Amino acid sequence: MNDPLKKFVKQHREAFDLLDPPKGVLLRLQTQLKPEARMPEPTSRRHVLPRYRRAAWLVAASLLIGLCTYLFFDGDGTTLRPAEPQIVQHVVEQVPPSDEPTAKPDVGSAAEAPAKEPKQPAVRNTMVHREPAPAPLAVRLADSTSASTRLAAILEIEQSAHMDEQLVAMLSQTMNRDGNTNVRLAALDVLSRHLDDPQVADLLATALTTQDDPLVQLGIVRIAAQIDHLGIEEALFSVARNPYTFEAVKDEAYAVLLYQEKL
Amino acid sequence: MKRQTITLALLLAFCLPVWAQKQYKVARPSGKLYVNLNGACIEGYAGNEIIFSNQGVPDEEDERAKGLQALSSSGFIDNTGLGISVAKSGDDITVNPVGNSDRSDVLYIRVPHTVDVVFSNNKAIFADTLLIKNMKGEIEVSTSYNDVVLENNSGPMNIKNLYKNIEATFANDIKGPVSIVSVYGHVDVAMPASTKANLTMSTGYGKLYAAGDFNVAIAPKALDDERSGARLAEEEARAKLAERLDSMPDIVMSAPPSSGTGISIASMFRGGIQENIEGTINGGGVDLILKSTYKNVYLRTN
Repeated sequence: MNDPLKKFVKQHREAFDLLDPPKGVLLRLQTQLKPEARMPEPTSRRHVLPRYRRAAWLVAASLLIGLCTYLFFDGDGTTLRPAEPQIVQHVVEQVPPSDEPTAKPDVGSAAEAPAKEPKQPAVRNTMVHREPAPAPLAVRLADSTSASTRLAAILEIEQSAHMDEQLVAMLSQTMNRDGNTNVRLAALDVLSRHLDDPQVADLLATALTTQDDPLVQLGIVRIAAQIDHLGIEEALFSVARNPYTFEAVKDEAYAVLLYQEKL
Repeated sequence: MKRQTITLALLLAFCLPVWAQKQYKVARPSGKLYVNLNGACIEGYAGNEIIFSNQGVPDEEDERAKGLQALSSSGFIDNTGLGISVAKSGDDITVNPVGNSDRSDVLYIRVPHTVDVVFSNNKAIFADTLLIKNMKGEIEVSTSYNDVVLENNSGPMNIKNLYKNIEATFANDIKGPVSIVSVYGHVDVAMPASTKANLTMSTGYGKLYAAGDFNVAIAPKALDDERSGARLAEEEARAKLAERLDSMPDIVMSAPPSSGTGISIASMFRGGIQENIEGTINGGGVDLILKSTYKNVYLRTN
């Protein structure tokens, strides 16, 4: 208590208490305090406004996030509408009710064909078994809707190791006409297992010049290296000298001719 | 206030790619989806719509083109706003390019995973990578210049590539037949070690590789009676050729043949012996055909 002012006030307190407030002051203050007591405290009032302001920002941000999420997952807001919406409408009408794939020829059932003798222990198990009765081999080989069905049919022929004129004709047609290169190559592979058959050699010689798929042509040329056949020799010369032949096929043809000492 | 401004800016930044993205949707077809584009990312999902989207940076809008329709010598009309034509033909849906597209503009196609997909691109030299993943339907690919990447597809599939590589990763649910063929590119396939398959691998000028975990049981060629005659003739011819080559001076090649440019006859004679392996993995199962004419074929576990 080194403060001189405080000491002075303490020592002369009586001198400061000379004046008394008017009697109505206390009553008036009490009446004023009563309604204020019902109102919120000024301190709390100060906090209310900023809180509401922040909440407004949060609401705005939530709306923005919701909009963005909607745009992100649906995109209708920014989707460019087609000039011809009929395309969509027509397709919608044909949507199957379930998510299952549409019915298509079953290749897997081909593995269960009873006519095939099991020459080798490993049985070709190709696709999912869904249809009880397998379609005939010729039908599956001509199935234009699925390249895998045709490929599975060819692999089945390969597995059976059986060959006759009808099968040779079917395989030859597949090798030359099929729309899928992989299927053509598989047919060529099966035919190449029967090079001792003169009919197969003749078919390969013909196919070499008429083939329109360079990959298959390349495969035939490589197989031709194993055959000493006049028709194939002429076909190789024809392919090698054709300016429109695919470069790799041409190189391969020259290589085979050199290999066979025909050049 | 500063924090709120930053939050708003971040939200707007998040929204910008969404606004830039264009989409076009069609209901799933009862037939196949034919895609004839320079490249695409095709992803399967559990839904009923085919969703085409372009997630690249949009080109500046040509003010002069407002109100006009893009024409193409191909005859297709851009009915999507994505530079492609999507048209229904019978039960199928066909996608074709309209005019020249920006190469950085990759088209994403989300497809119900059971739909069959056919991709074909044998004309465009400047082609993008083709990515197909998570599909359970049949896949057909015929391309010349696209690198092909296949991820987590079940098959069956027929993949042909003329000049580029093919890489495929399979999960456990493989459905055959699976045929993957490339002429000038390598073929690289990864699948679980427990996969049961009938395997055919071949290469004309490359090498064949397989992970030891597969324990490939190679069928002995001696049992193949029908080809023995041709094989004996081939072996005789090879022996004769080797004798002839030994008498010739060594051929020194300045550089190995590059893909797409053909191959010299000299290298053919030195290394062009057809490698062809047929066998089974884990007792046999789905048919798996992997071929490359000039490059290696790899079969690995994943």
